[in-house]
Amino acid sequence: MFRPLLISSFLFAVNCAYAENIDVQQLMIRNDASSKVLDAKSDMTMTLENEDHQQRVRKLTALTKLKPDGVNNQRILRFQAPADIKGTVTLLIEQTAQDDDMWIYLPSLKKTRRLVSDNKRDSFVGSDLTFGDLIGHKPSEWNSTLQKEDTLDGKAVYVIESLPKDESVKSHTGYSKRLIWIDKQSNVALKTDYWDETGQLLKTIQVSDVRLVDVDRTKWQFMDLNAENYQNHHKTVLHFDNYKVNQNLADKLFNPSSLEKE
Amino acid sequence: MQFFKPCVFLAAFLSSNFAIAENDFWQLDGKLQVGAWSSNRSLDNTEAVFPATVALKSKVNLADDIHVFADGRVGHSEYFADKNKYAVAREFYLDYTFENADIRIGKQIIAWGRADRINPTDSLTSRDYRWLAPEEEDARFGNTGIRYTHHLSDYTLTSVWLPQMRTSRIPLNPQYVSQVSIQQPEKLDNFAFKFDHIGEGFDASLSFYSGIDTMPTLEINSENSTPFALLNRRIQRYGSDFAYGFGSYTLRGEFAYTQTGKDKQEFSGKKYDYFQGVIGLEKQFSNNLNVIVQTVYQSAFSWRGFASQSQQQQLTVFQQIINQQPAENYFGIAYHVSKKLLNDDLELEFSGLGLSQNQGFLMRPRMRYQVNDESSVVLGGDYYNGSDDSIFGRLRDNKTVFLEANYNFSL
Repeated sequence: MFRPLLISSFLFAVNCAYAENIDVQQLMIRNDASSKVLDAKSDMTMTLENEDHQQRVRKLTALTKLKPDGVNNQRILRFQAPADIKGTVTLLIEQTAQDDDMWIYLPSLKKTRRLVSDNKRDSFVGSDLTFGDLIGHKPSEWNSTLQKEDTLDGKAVYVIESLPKDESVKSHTGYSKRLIWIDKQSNVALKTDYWDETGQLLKTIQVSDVRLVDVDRTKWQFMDLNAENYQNHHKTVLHFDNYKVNQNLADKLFNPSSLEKE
Repeated sequence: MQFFKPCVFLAAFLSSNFAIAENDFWQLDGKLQVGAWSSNRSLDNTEAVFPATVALKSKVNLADDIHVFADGRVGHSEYFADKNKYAVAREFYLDYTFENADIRIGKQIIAWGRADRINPTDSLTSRDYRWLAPEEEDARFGNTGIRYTHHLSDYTLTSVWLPQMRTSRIPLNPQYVSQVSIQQPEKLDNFAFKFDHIGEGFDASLSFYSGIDTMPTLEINSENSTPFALLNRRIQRYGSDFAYGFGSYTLRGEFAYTQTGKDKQEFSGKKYDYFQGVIGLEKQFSNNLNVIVQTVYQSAFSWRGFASQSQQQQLTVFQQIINQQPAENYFGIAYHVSKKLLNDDLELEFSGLGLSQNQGFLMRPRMRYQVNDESSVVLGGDYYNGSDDSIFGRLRDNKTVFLEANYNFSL
């Protein structure tokens, strides 16, 4: 008679203690900050594969620099191949209190154009990553709860469920839910499942070869990313080469007017 | 002999690269284009045209901050709508970047204006509207001069001096071609300034241009070699533009007031002073659907029309159409809808412009398919409609459907 009550009371007590120990919101903030290096320069190879296994390979150089506020990032992606998009450059500047700023330089137009700032749900150059995935999803816009502790590929992880705080976030990101496996050591999201707006499982993004790239500031960066879309059976593989941090990148490199340097 | 010019151009292009190839500081990218067009764009009723071109772009890195850039086309004369033309150097310049400034010397395309495709402030770009290029931007070619840009945080001041400026080429009806000569501009000193803000929140600029109007006017020829001449008169243009993003929208606007120097009582083919404005909204829908709708407005000052249709008056009406001043005021609606599918391998695009005052309309559908990293095909067409005495009606014979295959390569 008393046993079920005792067991449930015990479990409730354990859960309360667990919730006190793990501040999920802080965990998500640490996850967001885990890869925010002061600045970095790298080469990227993005391989897109459709369900017929036809591949397209895009090569880019990437520059990032943290703004003086230490929170918002600036990113430049310059396409080196294939030839039809070579010279195309995008600049993304995060803004905490307002819409992010985005520009694209198209060599065919010879102009730098301001892009619609709220295009986070759109695919980035045909890949399985959205602009939002690329910029990172702001922890403050999601309600996150700890589901369990687990292991993934031999690493201890927290499994977090993130739900958009309101319809606007859901609409802007295109996601109704994310399930995130966060590495306890590095705070990097090793795997994320995404559900689309209708609640259907959309895709999984998994990263590997996570390296400590800035020892002093304890910043980590994955070198490989695999994204698989379950709805259109499309895949994206992203690989970083020559990833170098603390390069003292000049501020003027992140000025939109400098994008036209072909 | 007719193949001599393209061969020299190609040889110069390649030798400039191979000379430093061992230092690995050069890049050469090319695009082979082969097309089938139902009609050319020269208003001469030529049908079934099969142009082929090779577009070459090269960049030579002389030092970290010094580059030489070249962009040229070698190809079939039908592409250039000129039986004597087989090659064009679109750009050939040296670019030097220093602390907060950069300078570019040589033949260069300088494209101004933040509106979509209709750019009243775009004073420095010359075009050949007869070229058989599916993309409008490919019909531009550079002018020779110096561009100096000074950067100060989010602000940029640009100064341009173009001692040599080529005029845009427009298609003329066959009955006029033999009667028209093209006169070189009277003065060759053309300069422009632009003060630009590009940064957090919004982008905007103020600009000024003094020089020749790249778009010619059709006038009675004073030199009597032919009855008419295409002339490029001097203008002064005061311009402004902006782009402001909010949510899933971007608001863009561009305005210019152009002084042509035409006297109020003057009876000639010169353009009247005019104001042109474009304002529009871009909306990014989900799933890579992008829609841009713009309104266009033009007002010509002291404009004079005609009540009857004598031969002289018909010529004047034609001149006003060439000048794109067929009425004192007119409006237009421009649209540009594009949708990307199959992870960007397929792009559908539909754009057009319709004008008030019975000036007709233009529609341009395009379908681009990326077969693989190197190859793509473009299927498209241009459709013009309007009365004989209208801007787009005059171009009715340029209606065309085309299929173009492209092959990209890099060395």
